[in-house]
Amino acid sequence: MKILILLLFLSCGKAPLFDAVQDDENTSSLLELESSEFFDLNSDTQFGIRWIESPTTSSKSSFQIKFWDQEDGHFLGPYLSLESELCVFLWMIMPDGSEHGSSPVYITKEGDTYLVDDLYFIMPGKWQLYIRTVKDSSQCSGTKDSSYLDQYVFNLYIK
Amino acid sequence: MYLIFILSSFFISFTSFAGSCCGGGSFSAQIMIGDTDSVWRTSYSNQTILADTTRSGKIEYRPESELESIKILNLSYSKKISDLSQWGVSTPIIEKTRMISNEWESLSGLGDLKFNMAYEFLPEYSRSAFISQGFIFFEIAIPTAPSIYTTKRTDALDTRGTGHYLYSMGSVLKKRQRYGQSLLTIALTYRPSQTFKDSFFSEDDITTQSSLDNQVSFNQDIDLTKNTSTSLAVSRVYTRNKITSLFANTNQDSLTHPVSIGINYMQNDYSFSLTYTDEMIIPSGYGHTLGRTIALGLIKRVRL
Repeated sequence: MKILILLLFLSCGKAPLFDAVQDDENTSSLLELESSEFFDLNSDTQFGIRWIESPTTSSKSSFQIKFWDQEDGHFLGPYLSLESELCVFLWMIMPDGSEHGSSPVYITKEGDTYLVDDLYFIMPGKWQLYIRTVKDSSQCSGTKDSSYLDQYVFNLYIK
Repeated sequence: MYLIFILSSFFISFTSFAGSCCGGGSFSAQIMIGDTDSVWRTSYSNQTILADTTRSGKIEYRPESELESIKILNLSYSKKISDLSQWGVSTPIIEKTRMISNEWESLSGLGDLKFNMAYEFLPEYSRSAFISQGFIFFEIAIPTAPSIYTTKRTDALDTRGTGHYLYSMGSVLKKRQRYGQSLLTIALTYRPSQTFKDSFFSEDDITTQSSLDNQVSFNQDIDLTKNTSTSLAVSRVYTRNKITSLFANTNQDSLTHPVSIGINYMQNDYSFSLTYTDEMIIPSGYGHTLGRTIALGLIKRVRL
């Protein structure tokens, strides 16, 4: 009995008993989503993001996001203040079909800049980052099936 | 010969492990078959989740950084109430290990408690030509451990339970042979719908859907010597509606086929077992995690 208990607690933090069947995927920590890139929210509006706290599984992450009109503006401004609500959430689809999100994020707005805080990548793997506009905040339920106006989805690989 | 029969009769256990991310469906039942007053069991298992099967059945192997280790120290006890009936309790202590920011991190604690009752509807002395002994059992699993719905940790490393009450019933049928014995176990598990408030994953209440799951397990023991036997078990575990289905907004079922080989040794009132379980040998499953498990068992019986 003592040996069994010892076996359990001595193993804290050690690697799993069996090795991976195949080598690690040759992927960078972020497959897509570079801060210097710009993305189309719809035919009129572009946006860019800047990570303040980079994606990680150990602590929260956060980023700034700014929007501009494709014809009248660019990444240096002038920036748009969205008429609709901004909705951001994380989503994971596992190979076995299991899907889940993460905790609700916290969005604040200062002038034309949105700060998206409290993003938690709760485990390593393939994540999706949903950037949406919605009519009102009640439509931002944190699930991908809820209704929205415009949407852009990033794919991230978190190690 | 009688001793050898007793050796492989103290302990029946069949387990499907939870989905690694979300504390998915978990099922086990332990009843006492031997002619004893009570049985104490201690087991230690070490499982590594190595792959997942997709909804279409394709195996996707996990890279090193996504492996997950689940170690379980399980303490259980069974006692006879009368000649033909018994009750039992099972208490798992679970440690989960996962890589978080390139470091292996672990967290351990109590899992879901289980209580069972069993009745021997076909006693051994009835001497049926086809079945030597038959039991019917009932089990309830109580959600005493944190689940994916109640965790407050941002890495969800403490999800050791399903978050649901699980009600199981089934039957164990035994056939004795000259060289060993066969055990056929059939079980149904009902998981009622449940609503969770203040979930980490949503500001709204989350309501899961009910599910009726089933499991069939066949175990063959072969006596090697007076004190030693070996065993081979093949199971089919079907979950009709995974607890994480609500996140996908659709019903999701899963199927897996664990295969176990083991060796048992008995000395006086103690028996020892070493078992290897592999969920990747029979690939015809889907929607489930796949792992390999090493388990050690120690059983003490108290004679009538």
